Amino acid sequence: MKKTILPIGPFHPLLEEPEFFTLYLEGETVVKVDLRIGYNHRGHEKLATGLTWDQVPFLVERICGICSTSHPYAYVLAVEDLLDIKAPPRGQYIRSLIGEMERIHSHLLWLGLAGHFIGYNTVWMWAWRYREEILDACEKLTGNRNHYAMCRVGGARRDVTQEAMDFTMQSLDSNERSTTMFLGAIVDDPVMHKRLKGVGVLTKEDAIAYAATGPTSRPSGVRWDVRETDPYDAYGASLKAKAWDVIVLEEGDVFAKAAARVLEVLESIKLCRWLIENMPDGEIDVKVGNIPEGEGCGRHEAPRGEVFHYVRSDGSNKPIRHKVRAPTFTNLPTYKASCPGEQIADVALITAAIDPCYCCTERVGVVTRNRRNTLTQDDLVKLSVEKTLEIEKKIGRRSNLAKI
Amino acid sequence: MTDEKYKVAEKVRDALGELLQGIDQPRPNRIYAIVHQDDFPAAARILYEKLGGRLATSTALEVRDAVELIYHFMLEEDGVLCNLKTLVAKPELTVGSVGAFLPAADWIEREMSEMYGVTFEGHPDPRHLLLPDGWPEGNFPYRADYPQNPDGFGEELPDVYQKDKK
Repeated sequence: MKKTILPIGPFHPLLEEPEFFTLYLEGETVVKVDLRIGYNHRGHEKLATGLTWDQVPFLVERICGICSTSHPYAYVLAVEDLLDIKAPPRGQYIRSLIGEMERIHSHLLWLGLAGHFIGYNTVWMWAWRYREEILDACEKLTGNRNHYAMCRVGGARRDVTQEAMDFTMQSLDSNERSTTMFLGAIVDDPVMHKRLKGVGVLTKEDAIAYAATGPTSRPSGVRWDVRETDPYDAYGASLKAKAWDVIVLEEGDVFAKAAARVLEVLESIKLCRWLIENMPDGEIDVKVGNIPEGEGCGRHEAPRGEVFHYVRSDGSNKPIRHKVRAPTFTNLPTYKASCPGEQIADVALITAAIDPCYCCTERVGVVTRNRRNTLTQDDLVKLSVEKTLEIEKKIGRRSNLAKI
Repeated sequence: MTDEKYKVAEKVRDALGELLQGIDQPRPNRIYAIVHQDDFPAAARILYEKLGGRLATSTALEVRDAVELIYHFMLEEDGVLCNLKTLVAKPELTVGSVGAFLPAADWIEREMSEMYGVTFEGHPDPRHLLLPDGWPEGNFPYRADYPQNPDGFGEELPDVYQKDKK
């Protein structure tokens, strides 16, 4: 059979992490995937070496706009590792609380986009509406809906008020109800089963070989969670109190990845409640003096997986090396394992399942010998919706999809 | 718990055996092990295959007459981060590739080779990762001697862009 090469990319200027895929197709089946990144390389690692230790958290907070606390969190953990100090308990609990709130709203954002991709726009609008409650709570707690700037070396930057925590509790209650409803809607929906089950399977062996992290590896049966294996801040204490559990599923397909994220939202809600109920009194940070010579590694379980920061100091007021590794860096190459054997209509879904950014699907050029035509993001979504409609027809179920 | 973590250094020492040049455990959950650059891929293979380490990522940094490589292996079962270090001497800057047998090292080695000019022998796919394909040879942006604001550097755009202009 003739091989067709299908380039997808390179990038959408509105979203971060632009990527370029080259799909090698036989008919409609993907046989090989090649990836290129680097279209938006901003040189954060080099920039950080020109800033003082206190300025770097503000820089790394701008790496990601959705999980904005992950990078400063990992960075301050790295510097605290270098100094061999720990934040006071209240500071630790505040930082962990913000980290978990972020996980909830990030997963809901993904869920909404995934719903949009398979043509369930109701899922999209509901998920984003429920996400607003969490963002409002974040605003009450920190002053910002995003970019909280709550992490500093030695503790938290600001205290949280009792009033804000009470408000957060209410938001969590109402969010738990809606997320439980969501879970029911996904697990009981026969169309979701047909559309997502067995699609884009990432096997346990591949997940380990590619060192995938977070909700990309855990649905494949790999129990890797930094919060559990290398506990930091309030996570060690919350695990001992059995306040939450790590979600591990076996199937490794898109359905498992979606289900794992919804279940993780519920676990995070439990953990947030536990953190607020057990919030200790006292100082929120410790004074940090000069940073001595040395090196430190900081790891934080961000919504998408492990964020890794490494810092090296020569005793001056600036780091001489600052290494940043975002979870998508290890999760993206798993397409090489999960895409071959799948159909084009599913690729948009599989590439969305690891929760990167959707930029890559904006512009697709289909090259067929000498003719050249272009697929837009709308066309890809349409392809995906059509497949869902076909399944609905087969199992004799009608929805409002046809109206779109 | 802490005592158990301090035993992991013994485990790493036994596994690496003669390859090991030095080992340090400044904190219970952090180990720093140093090997010679010739033994580096072999040591990484032991950490990955025998101890079940997950390669979190790798860091390269420039020291006086060498580039230091640090491969951060997470020993998930023990909850200890084992950092495998080596010094790759200038000017050859050549070391065996870990990406040859560990897919997780594929991208990060491509990044280190274009940013620091380290050559990974036996790497399965030694293309550029972050920089464009036509990037001028011998320009390594993360090196200390790389000009921060080179005058007129933009004029010498790589070939691919020159073609686009025409």
